[in-house]
Amino acid sequence: MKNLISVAFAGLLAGGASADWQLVWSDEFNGTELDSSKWGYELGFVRNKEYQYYTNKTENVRVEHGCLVLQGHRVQWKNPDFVPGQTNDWTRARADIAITSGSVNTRERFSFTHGRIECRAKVPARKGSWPAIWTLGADIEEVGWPRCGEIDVLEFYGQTPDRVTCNVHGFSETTGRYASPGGCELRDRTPTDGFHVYALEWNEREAVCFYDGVRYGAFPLGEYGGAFSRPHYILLNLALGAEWMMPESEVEVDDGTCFEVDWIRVYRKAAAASGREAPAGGVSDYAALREELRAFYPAAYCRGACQAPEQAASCKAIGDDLDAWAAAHLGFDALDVRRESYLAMRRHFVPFLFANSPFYFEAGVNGGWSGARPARHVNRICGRFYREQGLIPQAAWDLLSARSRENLTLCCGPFVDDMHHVPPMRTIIRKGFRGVRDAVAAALANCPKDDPLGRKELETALVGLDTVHAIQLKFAEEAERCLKTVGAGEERTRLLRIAASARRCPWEPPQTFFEALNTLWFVREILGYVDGVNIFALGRPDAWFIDLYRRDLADGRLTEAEARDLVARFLIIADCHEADSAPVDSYDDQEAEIPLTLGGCDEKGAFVYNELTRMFLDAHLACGCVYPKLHVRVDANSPQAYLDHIGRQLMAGHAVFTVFNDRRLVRQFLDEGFAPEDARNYIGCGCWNGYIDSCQDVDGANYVSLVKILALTIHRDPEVERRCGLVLDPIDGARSFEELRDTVYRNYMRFFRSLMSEYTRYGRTSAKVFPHPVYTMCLEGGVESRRDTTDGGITGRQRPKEITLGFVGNVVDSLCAIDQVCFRDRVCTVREFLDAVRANWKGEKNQRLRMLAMNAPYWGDNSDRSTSLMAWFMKRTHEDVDGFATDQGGAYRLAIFTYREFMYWGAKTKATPDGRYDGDRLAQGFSPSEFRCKEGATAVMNAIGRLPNECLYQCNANLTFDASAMTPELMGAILRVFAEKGSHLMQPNCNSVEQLLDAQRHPERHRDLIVRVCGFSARFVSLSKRWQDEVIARHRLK
Amino acid sequence: MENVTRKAFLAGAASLAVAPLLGADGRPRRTPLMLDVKRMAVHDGPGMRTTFFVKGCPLRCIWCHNPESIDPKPQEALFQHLCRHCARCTRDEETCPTRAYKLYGRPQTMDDIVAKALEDKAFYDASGGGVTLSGGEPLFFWEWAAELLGRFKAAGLHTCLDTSLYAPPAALEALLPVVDMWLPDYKAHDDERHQKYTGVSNRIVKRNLERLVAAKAKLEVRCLAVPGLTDGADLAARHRYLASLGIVGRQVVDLEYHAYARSKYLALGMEDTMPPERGER
Repeated sequence: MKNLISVAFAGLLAGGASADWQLVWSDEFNGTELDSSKWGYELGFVRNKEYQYYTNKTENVRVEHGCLVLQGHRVQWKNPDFVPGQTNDWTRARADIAITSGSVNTRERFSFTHGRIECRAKVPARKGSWPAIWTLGADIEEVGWPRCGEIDVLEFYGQTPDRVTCNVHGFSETTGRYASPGGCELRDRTPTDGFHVYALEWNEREAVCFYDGVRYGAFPLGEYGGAFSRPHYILLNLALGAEWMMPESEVEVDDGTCFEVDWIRVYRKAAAASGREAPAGGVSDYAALREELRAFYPAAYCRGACQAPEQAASCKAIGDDLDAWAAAHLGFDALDVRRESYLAMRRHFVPFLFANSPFYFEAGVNGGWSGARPARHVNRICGRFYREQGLIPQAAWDLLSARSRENLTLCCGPFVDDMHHVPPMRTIIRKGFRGVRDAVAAALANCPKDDPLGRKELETALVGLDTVHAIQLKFAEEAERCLKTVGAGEERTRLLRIAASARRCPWEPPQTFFEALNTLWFVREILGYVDGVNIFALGRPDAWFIDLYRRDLADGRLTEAEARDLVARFLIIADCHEADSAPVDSYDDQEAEIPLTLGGCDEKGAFVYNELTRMFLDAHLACGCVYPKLHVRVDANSPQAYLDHIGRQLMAGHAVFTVFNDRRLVRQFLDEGFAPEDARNYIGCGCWNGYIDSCQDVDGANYVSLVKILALTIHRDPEVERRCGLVLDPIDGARSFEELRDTVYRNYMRFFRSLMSEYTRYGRTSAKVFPHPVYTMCLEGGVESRRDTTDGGITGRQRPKEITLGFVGNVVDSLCAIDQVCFRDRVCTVREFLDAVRANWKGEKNQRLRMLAMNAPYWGDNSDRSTSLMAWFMKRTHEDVDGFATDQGGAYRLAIFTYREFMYWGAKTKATPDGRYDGDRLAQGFSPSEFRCKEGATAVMNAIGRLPNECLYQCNANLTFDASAMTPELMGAILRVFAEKGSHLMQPNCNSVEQLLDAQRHPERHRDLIVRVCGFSARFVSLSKRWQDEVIARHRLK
Repeated sequence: MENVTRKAFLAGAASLAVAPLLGADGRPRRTPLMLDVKRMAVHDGPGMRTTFFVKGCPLRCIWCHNPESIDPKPQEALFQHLCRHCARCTRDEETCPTRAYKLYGRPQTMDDIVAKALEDKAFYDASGGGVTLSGGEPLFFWEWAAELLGRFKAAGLHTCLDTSLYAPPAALEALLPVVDMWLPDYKAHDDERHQKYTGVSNRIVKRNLERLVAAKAKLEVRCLAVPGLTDGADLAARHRYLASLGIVGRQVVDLEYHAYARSKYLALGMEDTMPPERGER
């Protein structure tokens, strides 16, 4: 992959992590005995009522073959410290010693504060073994444990050999008690298979743990009375069982009960790269930027807000003000609270500027879905209206939660998805927030007297817009304040630029490339701050800003190298919003709704593949970014160089793309009546949603599991059906395929209708709880309607609600299987066949039926039967849903894609007639089931091309291509055919089974391998084992 | 659920293979059973291709990595490592729960083959690809192959032929107009060695190769190097000979030998004749 990094960016990467760290202490254990100038021993029974008795004998502690070996032995010794009748001191209460082991430490020899500790070690696969690499505060004698502080770089338990843990222990001065954030555990690894590198980075803010270079845990160190700002010494030990763990006899002690340490090294941060006080020099210092961002953003996505105390305090002050106001005012409504929140924000907002970032936008709320953002406090205060005012009856809540518990539906909110919003970037780029304010003020002046609600909405928005302005100015003031203490250098240049720009932009429209880029971040973050809306896209800078960029170059305001640096930092900010190397397994581990759109046609219809497109693509690869996700637009006339560019990056193991087909999406928007320049300006949002910036607001993430309804039709469960309000007609007695198909369809459409009516009935209630006046006014038509976007202000084609037909592939496969086995080959009756499904295919006879089912046509084989059945489903559903109005007066739009649910919901969906066993994974979006596909990716693309794609909105297929049989040009050719075929979206992966297996064995060699998982990409080595296995299994689909 | 389908199939397939069908000219001719179709193939000629494999080959290369492609008749195979030993084996590929039982060779009409090939035309067009006929030995069925490739050409598809070139002169003449690119093997230069390891002389192969050169056919000659048998001096001799014909550079592709197919010999009940690959004992 290195050779693909353009020369220009290779220079920027210099000065990576290794250059920032200086080795200050190490032991390579290359001698023949333990170096007593570095290490001392612990002796006897020491702590935790552990069974082992530590000695300094060579059978327990020795240096050999370049390693420190700590080994356990079974012995039958008398405890020399034994005192008969002793009850207070357990180390003296034990008469016998059954196990010996070793423990060494650097106490009074070496200690350090902050830095990086790295240790290459091998842990024993023995029950009861509890080896550790850890530190204790050097002042333990004076202040005792836990006040001294403890950091566990590694704790390993032999009885759970698939995981390693790290942890921090200390004493909280606030609570006056022992405190620990709780350990972080990295599962599905094989630490016992050999040597692995365990590392910990420790600074004044946090401790971060790594396993083979993969970051898996981080602990904030702000509390604990400064225990982590004082020197710590290092300990290496092999404990063997303890009373709390298991009986002593069960501890496995044999020749292999060895903890081997190849080397241990301690590094200190080079002074030049350590944060705000010491400004970084030169454009190459992205490591410093990354470190600064990581320290700021939470390690795990949904766990909370940023870690800067000033922001947390400001957030709390706003909440307190609102609570006080609410307590003092009775009879308020949500707009009143929103207005007060804007005012409180103006009082308390604290800007944050990164020393290494040129941009100003950071409001300390992580912009994403963090519940800590102050705007969410409005929701907290008004949320009680749901019950107090009877907005939503209890029965509806019960139904909602039952359906989601049974994996029938998913919605990112109670009845509306309030987490995905289309940005109003073009509005702000065109006229600035001031332009929006002017329009609102004019509308207010002309507001009819008989529309008090409209007046209130506009008045509230005015307050909010003024708050946005005030926030922007605070950034300018902050930059001016910082300038007083920052000397000459890069940081000063950046601060000067911010101080100047933040005085005017984006209140006024951006006038330079820098201001334009900054506007994208500013709008995303500040709307999240003031209105609590999660803006799920950054826009398309290559199409929108190319003129500004060229003008800046021509006028000498900017050089190409400076632009590249801006772009790289712009991307790295998105990348660091997440812990990009944290292990990815469950929902909250890794998520960032921060995609960037590149390519596609401009508003006049000409294809965009310009200097900026190339710059963004190259920087993304060169900086090793996982985020922002890249939504690349293609059409059948895309320049070959552009498609090859994407192909090259895919071949380089950089699968960060969702490919959007202009041919399908632009057409769709035109058909809906959008103006051509708007239709052509759609952007990729969220995981895989194309919407029109500044024109639309959506309700985007609503899933229905069709296959679950089918499974319940077969495996009846009256209790679940009652709780979920399902009415299911049986299919066992069907006399023809058509009858069976229609019954299945009727069951699911009945559910669908009930779902839509719930959405429509209760969705609008969010206006009473959580309005977004500022955001509303930035959208086209918002000012004129004088109604909030939660209250029908943005409606019609501008306000679709998307519902995903989840796992329709499995339903089509199931119907094809029943058709083949029961009606065409007449091997058995429908009832007999479904009995086999109900038996989870157990038994030889049922196994044969399963194979017959597996040999039937399946979705994605491009056969007439499966393809026409899929088309029939799409068309019928489209027709039946057409005409239903959503809560906001918009239309329901159908989509086919699946997020992580294909794994999680699959685990809770019983066997289905397509040959799936209980709990097997489900089909991903438009991709065929992994268990069925024999024909490969071209057949899938051909089949999709034959569907009535105009019936549906966003359909996505994840397709895996074998890198060993692929070239960038062929990849480019595949993208072109994809565009020609007229399907919506594709998420390509290009890797090989050998490469993925090698990455499982040697993660350190494949740090840069990025795979598209579902709605997100991740470093392959960061995925948990089950997700890695799933990505490998996709090669059956190639 | 009886194995009727299998029996009927075996009977039907056998009759197809044994009784020659009539060619387009009304004369009887040999028609192969089809072994496999590989879509998105990228090693069988330029661009992205669909490769069709026929069953039946006149050569007996001891290193053959597709032993199922030698016999023109349908063949059963049982992969023991997959077999779960059901109480009653159906000996039917359709219902074998682990796919341990496999039946190689199925009849397929020319219409079906052409239709299959056309499915991916968009991909060929975008990548400069097409269709490849492979085997087995397609020229073992040269009249049939000429007609099929002619139909591919008529449908606007680029054609490649993967062949040992062990075929009568008439076969070459019939195929020359319908093959865009030839992918012949040249297995050994020393004739004695060629006879010993492939069962046939290389005189016909060389004559055909020279004919292709004379006809200015587009070529990519594949030279397999089997350790200890056809590597070293023989490979060098092949290169020299090819260079003397003007076949040089990218027109010559050396292939590394692998003994991946051992399990197939076992499953087919055939004697495993594969020589060891490099490093294999």
